[in-house]
Amino acid sequence: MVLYKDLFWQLTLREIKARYKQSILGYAWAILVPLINLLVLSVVFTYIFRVPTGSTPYAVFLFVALIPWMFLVSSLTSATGSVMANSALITKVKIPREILPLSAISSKLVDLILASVLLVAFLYFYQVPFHITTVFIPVIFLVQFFLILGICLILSATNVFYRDVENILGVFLTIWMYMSPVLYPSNLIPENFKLFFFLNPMTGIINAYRDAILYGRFTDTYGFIYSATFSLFILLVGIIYFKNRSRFFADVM
Amino acid sequence: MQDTVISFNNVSKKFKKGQRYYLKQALLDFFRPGVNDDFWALRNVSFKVQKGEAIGIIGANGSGKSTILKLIAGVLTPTKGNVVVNGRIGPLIELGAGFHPELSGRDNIYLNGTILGLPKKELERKFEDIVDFAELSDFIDTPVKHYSSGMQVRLGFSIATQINPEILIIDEVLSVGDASFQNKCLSLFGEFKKRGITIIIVSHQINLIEQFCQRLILVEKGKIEAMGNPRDVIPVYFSSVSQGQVKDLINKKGNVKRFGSGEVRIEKVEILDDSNKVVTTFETGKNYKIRFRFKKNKDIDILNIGIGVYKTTGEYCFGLNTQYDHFKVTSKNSFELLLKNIPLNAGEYYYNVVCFGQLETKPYDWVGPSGRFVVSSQFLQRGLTVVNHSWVNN
Repeated sequence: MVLYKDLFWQLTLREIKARYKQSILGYAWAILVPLINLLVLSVVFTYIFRVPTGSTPYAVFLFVALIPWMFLVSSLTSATGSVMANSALITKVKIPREILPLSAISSKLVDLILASVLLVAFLYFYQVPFHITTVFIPVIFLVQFFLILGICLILSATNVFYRDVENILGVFLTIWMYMSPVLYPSNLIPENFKLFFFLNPMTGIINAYRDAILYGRFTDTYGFIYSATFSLFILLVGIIYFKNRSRFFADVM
Repeated sequence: MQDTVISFNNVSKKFKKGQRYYLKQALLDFFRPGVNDDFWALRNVSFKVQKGEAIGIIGANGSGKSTILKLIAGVLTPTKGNVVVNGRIGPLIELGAGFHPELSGRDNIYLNGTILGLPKKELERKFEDIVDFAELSDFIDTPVKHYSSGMQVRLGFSIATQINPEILIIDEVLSVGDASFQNKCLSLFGEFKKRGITIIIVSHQINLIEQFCQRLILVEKGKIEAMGNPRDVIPVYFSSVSQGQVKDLINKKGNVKRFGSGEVRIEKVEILDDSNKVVTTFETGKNYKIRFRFKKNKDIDILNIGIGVYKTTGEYCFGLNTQYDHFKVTSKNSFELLLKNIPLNAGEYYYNVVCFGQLETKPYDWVGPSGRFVVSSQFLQRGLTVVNHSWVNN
């Protein structure tokens, strides 16, 4: 196990190093990309669509959800191809293959941390008061991480056999974003769609982030418990599925 | 009792033919039941390897050698039967080892070392050795994507051998390095053998494998055809390879090119040994006869016949014809070419045969390849030919 811990770190560092190796701005991109996204979306939804967010400025409201959402998107995108990208390893040496998607996700943590620093600066700039509920963020993040890991295990294993996954993923992520309360508050959802809307595990997670950071209260405890249960379930399914499929990875590589 | 480190019990491995990389293909397959895309790479393979043995696996391309290695490495899972491996396995060493192209040689050493289970401290201690052995000290901070394939293999080899695996598996990499690197590897293998490291090696270079392995496994079409002492197995290999190729030649007429004006047709070209038996395997230094049978369709004055012998890797070894040698073909349908002390080194060869009148460029009949043969040699020499030689101290 110690052996694989080292391997995990090496692979994660390799991902991080290789990513920004040939770019002039390097890690600055980890800040610039969310900032540009935030700018564009804020302008559109503040001045054109005018999403009502109460007393909270829209930019802050958005950014709190946008950062975890971008982490989900970048993790899923890089982890889906992670097994294929490491076919050289898969076909040469016996390692627990779960490490590959796991390290792909973990390498995105750097971006997440850098973006979070930016968020703190934002909250300070917009004078959002500090709430004690912020201490729950690690718990919320853990639930989100389990969800991401579970999905990544399923997608990366399936992608080895059906490359369609890579192609579908982009569209799927766009649809998923519009179905999640990233750009708008969940109280804008019409009553008839509510049930469907709350079946989405990201709804509970994003609402929990906003509640903890911006409002200092939890309005949707059941939604979050549902998300946590759902995430654990997906993780379990992912682990079993990946284990089963990984026996055949080298067959098709 | 010796320790068994690897044991294969009735192992079979099935692959799907064709690659179902896309959903479309899977759907098509689903609606086309009964189409059997299965391909058995191995069928009921059983063998055991004892600790400290050096085993060579030989066989034609696609016979299942690499599948065996991958099963040992634990990279593939058998479809039936089971594979038991005891001991720390080095990675499968093959062409284009698991390197990250964007990272430097240095980073790759650390990454690969970690993958192979070396603690960072030990890796730091061994770093210089690894670089020196791979002869890459000048390029160690260059991204691996700029390395030549020989350099990549050297690096991979160097890492794998420096981690002291208990089992080392090697898939046809010796052919890539240059001669000095090959020698280094061979002497290193010797050292490994002394230290009791088990080595499994796949190679087409029978010379090397013969020197080095005490036991060979000959695989053919997914089955073990022969197993045991190299002296016993190698002849079986050569006869099966050459037979297979002759069969291939007959089956796939399309591969044979033939042209000419047709006044004379070459009917048959046979190679006979001293006892007038038709052979497809030569031994270096022995005498052979090549018998040409032809048929004249028209009455012609001048008839010349030539033969060109090539290595299957493309080198032109020698070319003889009756015109150069001022030999007049008087026979109506057959004559022989006597070859004395054939100096060809071990390897696989093919020959083209031409028959012509005054000008070789206007042949009556040209057939190529007309046949193939394999040469085995008891001499330890490199290159195309075996040279009669001796060393003298001054």
